Amino acid sequence: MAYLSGALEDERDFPTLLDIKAAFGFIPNFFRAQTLRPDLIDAEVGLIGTILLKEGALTRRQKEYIFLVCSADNLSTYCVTAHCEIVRMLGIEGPEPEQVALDHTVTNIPTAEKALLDFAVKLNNRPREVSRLDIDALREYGFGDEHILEAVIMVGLAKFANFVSFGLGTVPDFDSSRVARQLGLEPVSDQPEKEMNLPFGNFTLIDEGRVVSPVSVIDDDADLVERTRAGELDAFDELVRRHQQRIYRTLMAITRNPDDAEDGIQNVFLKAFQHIGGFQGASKFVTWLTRIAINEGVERLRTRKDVDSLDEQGSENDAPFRPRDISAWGGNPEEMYSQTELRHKVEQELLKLPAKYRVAVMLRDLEQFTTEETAEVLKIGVPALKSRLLRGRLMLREALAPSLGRRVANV
Amino acid sequence: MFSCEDVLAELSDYLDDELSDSLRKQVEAHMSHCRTCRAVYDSTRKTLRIVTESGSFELSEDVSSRVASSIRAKIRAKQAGPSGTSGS
Repeated sequence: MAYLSGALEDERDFPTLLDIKAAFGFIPNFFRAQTLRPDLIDAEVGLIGTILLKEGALTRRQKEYIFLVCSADNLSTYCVTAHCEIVRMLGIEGPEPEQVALDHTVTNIPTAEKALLDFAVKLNNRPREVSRLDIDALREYGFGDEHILEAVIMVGLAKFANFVSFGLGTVPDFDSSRVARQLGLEPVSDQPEKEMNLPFGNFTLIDEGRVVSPVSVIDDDADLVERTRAGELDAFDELVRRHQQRIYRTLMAITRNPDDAEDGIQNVFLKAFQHIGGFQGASKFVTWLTRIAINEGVERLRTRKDVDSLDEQGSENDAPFRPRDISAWGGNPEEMYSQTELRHKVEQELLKLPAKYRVAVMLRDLEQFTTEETAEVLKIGVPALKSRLLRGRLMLREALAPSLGRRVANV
Repeated sequence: MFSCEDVLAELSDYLDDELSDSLRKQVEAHMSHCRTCRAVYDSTRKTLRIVTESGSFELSEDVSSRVASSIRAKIRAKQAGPSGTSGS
């Protein structure tokens, strides 16, 4: 099923299609939609064979995951459903492929593979922002030039397949009901004309019995964002209620000034409301909102000519931080101090940390963003973020040790 | 065999459970016989737990409801304004 009529009267006329049928047990719509030009199918199958199937530096699993995260990022239902099934058919061990497509950052795949997929998503989604730093970051994870080349080509292949699928209106045919169930989606129509208007092909989110068009299938705020866009101001009030504490803390992390932070909240939400129409759902709403808060905080620092910049030079290359106070903490600080006392100590010492460490620790450990989300919000690579986190955490521990460690140890 | 410096370099990832199996095993093997690294690990873990559970930098209910009301009023005033902007 597709927009164009094919010319497939007898598949035995097309040897390549027979091979495809032998591999999958049927002829997928992706190829069926191109039967007007069997030579194009031949060329594509050759391309797929060389790039995806042929053994190279990357494993098939890594290549399939790159294909999945890019296809999900491009909202290509056809390619996501097809390759989730293909990963299963191949018996590739690892997390459920739907989970990789939805949010690879929360899966238990190795950190290096997550970094590879982060890079793939960035190249897919923000190609002009890719720089030599991204390549160097991959090298730090042990990827060589051949790995990186293959990853880049795989992103290109995913884009190619996604766009061909969109352009030809191919309807998912890889047991999509199973994939849909796993994604919390329900098939709503078998009419291609309706399907293709939805961001996730022929699926739509079912939320408490109500059908909504999704911004992002992994975002708890997607429904409220959609309703705000549709003019429901109450939905935006709820987004404010949900996130204003977080935005206040982010502004405190940047400015260290309660008045600036309090004033800034309003600007952040007004800017978010003004620009919510342009929010594409490529990241979670809260990530996008936090980025606005960081810009607001930095702008306030500039206005008051604060020198405590977030981008001090050279810190990632600083000598490793060595703890000086290495005495054991003999008990739990929570049993020795009241909640108020602990909060006071934490706030006091967090604000003394240099800006880049303070912000990293506050976003990761106080706000509970994942490592990848924190890196995304700060627009730095994961290795740089990890370096800041390590140092920031150790500095904070060292600062708290004289009061928490000794008193606890002496009990 | 991991040194204390190796363990320190991996400590943050170890705390976040973001190490590969083989690195995690090496960190744990070192800590099983190194009291210093174990002490640093334990106190850093406690530090992070305190930070996470501290409820630091929380707006009071009064302030948060005042700020939310102000945002609410400004957005509605803007929507009702002569240009009738939709916000998108």
